[in-house]
Amino acid sequence: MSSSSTTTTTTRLLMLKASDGVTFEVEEAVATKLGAINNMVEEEGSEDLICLPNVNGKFLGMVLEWCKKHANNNTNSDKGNDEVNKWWDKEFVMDLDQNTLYHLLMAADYLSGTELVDLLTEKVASMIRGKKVEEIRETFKIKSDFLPGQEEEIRKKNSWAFE
Amino acid sequence: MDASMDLLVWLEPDMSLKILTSLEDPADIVRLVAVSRSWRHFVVANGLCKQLCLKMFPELSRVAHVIEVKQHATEEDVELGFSSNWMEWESMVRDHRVYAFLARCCTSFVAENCIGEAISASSTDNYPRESISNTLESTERFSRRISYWSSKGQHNCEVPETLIYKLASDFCVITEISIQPFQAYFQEGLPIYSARGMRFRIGHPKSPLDLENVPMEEPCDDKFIWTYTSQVFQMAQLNRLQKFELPKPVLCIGGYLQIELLGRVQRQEIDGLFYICVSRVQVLGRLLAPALGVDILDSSGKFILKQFLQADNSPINLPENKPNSINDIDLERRVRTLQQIVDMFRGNGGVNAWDVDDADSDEELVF
Repeated sequence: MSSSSTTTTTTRLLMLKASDGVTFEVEEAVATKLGAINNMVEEEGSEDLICLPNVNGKFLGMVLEWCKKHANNNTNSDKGNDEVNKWWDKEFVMDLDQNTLYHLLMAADYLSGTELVDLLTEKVASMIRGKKVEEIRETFKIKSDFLPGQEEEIRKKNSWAFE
Repeated sequence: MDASMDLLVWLEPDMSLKILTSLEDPADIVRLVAVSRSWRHFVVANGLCKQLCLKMFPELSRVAHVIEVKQHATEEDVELGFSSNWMEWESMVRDHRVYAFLARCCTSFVAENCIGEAISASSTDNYPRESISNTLESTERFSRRISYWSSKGQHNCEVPETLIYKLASDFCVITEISIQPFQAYFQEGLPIYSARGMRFRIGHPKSPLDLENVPMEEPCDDKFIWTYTSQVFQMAQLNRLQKFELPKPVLCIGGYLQIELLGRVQRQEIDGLFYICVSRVQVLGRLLAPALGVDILDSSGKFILKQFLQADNSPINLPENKPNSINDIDLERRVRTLQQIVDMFRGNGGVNAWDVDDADSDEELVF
């Protein structure tokens, strides 16, 4: 997954500017873990300042933090990296609330950070897997809007899934 | 009141879909339908249950359409002139129901024997004494007859053989196939006539009429269309029931199974020819009849997936698995084989071992 353009300028720094004006100085090798930035670097070449009008500073910062960890881990010796990354990913998503999770997910999606999107969608899925309907409503703050009797009907017809 | 954190509201539909299609337990998906009306709509409109089934069984991409068939019903309670939108929604709801039911049937079950009957073997040395029908289990009364199927002999050890069986239902899930090569303990050196490997195919007859009066001792592979071919499994030259566990369950559409035995390893002393002999074939899985069935439409294997409903529109539940059969049979088989060997050493088995009289001393082995 390495980009060919990084070979000549490995320590080049990029300036990323979020929607709220916050800027981040990041090594190119880190930022290009994000597909969108990688494309911009490859297409626009020498441009050092990249404006990202769809992500605010808070979430861009978090996305870059994740990229940095993964980039660092991957430069270390290969064996055991997967383990380190996995452990770190777990820490990263552990205490995220839904609001942050969604914003991060949207940011990661916008920036084409495929691996991060996978990590975050998996986190959301884990909030649903094996959970009761009431728990899902509680987690996602959803109010039932079924007509009287409708929900009972669904439960009755599929009782095996609600046992 | 806390603001809603509903992912369907917050995220793009594609992202929600990515999240919800990663659920693998059909019960998880079915429960989502009860969360709220928008969740129900999302699950049904995106066919999440169908997608789950397709992920488990790519073979289902050959489903042309899905129908529900009510038992003892006339065919008139459809097409009542609702708007096309409504009809479309209804058909999505129906697909959801049927695929949810199918997913559930295919994910939680105790494996049962799925073979219905023997159809034919590509060759048989001595028919009917060495017929393919000898490879089936009979749960009724065990005789002490030695029973196995034997191919005709070949000079070339590469000549394959095929055994064709009808499964007990035209629609089932197969998880494991076991084959026991036959050891001719009445021949010097106790040769085991195994094959080098095996693979299996699943399919349906070109025309059901073709299958009437098929001679069991002749090949009839050309009467079938095989829509699935497995990998090749290695077989050991050992006299025991060898399990070929499939990497993942296979959905058997059409009800016929062909076992292809590849390569011969044992030459018979007296004629110098290679034979393959099998004493037992077992297919484990779950029969989906009488709850679900298929109608094959054409030679491409497109089919109609049918769910049968009771008069009150409730699904027909599959019978609870009776966990008696397989192990008991194994045990009985072993006891029987031991008995045969003991008899042989005592010298009262005779040469025609397959014809040992079984009238006595067998009572305790009967169910």
